[in-house]
Amino acid sequence: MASRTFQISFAGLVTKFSRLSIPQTSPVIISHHCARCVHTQSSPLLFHATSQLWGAPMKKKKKVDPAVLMQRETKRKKKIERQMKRLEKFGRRLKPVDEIDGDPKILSQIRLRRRPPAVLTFEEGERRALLQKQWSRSKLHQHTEEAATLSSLLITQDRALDELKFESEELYNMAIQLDEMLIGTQMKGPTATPPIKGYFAKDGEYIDTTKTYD
Amino acid sequence: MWKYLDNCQPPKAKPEGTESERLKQYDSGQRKRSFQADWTKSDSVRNYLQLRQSSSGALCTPGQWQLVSAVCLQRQPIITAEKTELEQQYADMMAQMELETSLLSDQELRAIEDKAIEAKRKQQEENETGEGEVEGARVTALDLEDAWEAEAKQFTPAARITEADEKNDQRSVERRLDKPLVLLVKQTLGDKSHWVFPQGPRQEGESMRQAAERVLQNLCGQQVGAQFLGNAPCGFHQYRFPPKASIGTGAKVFFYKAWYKEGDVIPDKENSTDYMWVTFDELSDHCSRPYLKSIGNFLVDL
Repeated sequence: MASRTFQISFAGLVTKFSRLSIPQTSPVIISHHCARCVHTQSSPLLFHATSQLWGAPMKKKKKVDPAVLMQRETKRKKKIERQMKRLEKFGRRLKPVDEIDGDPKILSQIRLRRRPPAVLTFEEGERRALLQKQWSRSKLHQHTEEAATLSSLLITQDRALDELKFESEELYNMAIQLDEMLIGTQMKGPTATPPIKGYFAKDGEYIDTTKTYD
Repeated sequence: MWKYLDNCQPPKAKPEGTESERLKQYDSGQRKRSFQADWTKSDSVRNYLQLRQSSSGALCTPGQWQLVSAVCLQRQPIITAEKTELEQQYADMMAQMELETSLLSDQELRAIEDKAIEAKRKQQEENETGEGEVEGARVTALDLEDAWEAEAKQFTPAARITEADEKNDQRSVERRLDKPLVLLVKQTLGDKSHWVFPQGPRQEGESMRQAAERVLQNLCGQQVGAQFLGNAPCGFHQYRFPPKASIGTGAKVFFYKAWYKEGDVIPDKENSTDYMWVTFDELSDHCSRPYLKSIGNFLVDL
């Protein structure tokens, strides 16, 4: 009786764990419920369990041609090179001012870089306000002087041209011609110090390797 | 009416006596009316107003006067002018204000870090932990500044006041580098020799500008390089010949402005005996008054 119940429970186990194959010690005992217990080979399949596949069967790995692999590598390299060229080209072009977000490095450090607010005395504030007024007055003065000077220049030139016209129409017409040579001339303004005579400008970084013989 | 104007207060009623006081101040000169401000009295404004009021000179038949071209050759300033007191003060104030509203620079951050590290080190010394830190491993802000100063000292710029300034050599172009210089030439016109801009009569088949270019080449030498500013003259001067000489009535001089580029002036001995480079203020020492009057209108140092 006991052996019979053992047989039945054995069969139940096997049906439950369908992936498991359990070695049968006595091939004589054959359960009528399960055909899986039948082993046709002499060495029975041993106990093994596969990893959890979550329902997805594994793909078969195809063998890739080495030539195809090389092609893929070169394609990737070319793509990166193309991107670099594009960056270089667009990097030189300046962004419109509205799109500029400022230096990201400094923006990240902005809390660190806040300056402690300056404390102005009353006298200093007054001095600054008065200086500002004085400056604006002097700038107005400068502007009226410049405007008067420029107007005087134009009047003198007009008078000279009137005289020339009075003298000779032909000369006057030659004088009012546009001077094409002036278009495109470049003039440099004054600097803080005069240019050094015979100065040799060294271009770029260099290491002086002249041998000195003492 | 006042209640219909927004943001507008009716004028406060002034007490009786103050009106006459104010008028007295205007009369005495303590107060100035707005149109009496200083800037209306400047030279250039007065000059302009005079020019506008006066009329041009020539009212005689054409062809009697000899047409003469003259060249006003100017060496423009090479260095910037010194700041006036007000400009210096304002520049300092602006720099201060900019500093106050700016963020800390990398150099300043470095200095703050140095201080923190110093304080820490001193604390450690006080606590006598015994483990001394390696000195000299960190490049401090002051070290960097010293290195930069040393590098800057290796370059010495040229001096603003040149040798010619010290010798007061009026023949040199290097003289007053912060002011424009103009070329004066000693020419014999008739009997006497005058200090004038190089001038010469216009020949047949020339325009006035071509005449001016030729005159410059002849009187000052072929090597003088000048950039003429257009075909139109910038000024005009008229003078009569002495009637005894019977050359004609007189000459009408048309001035042409040119920027000096390079080259030494070598005066041609026939027409011009001597030359000098002179600032606008020094012109009055050498030129006659009517000539100066015609010249002053277009000599500008802005």
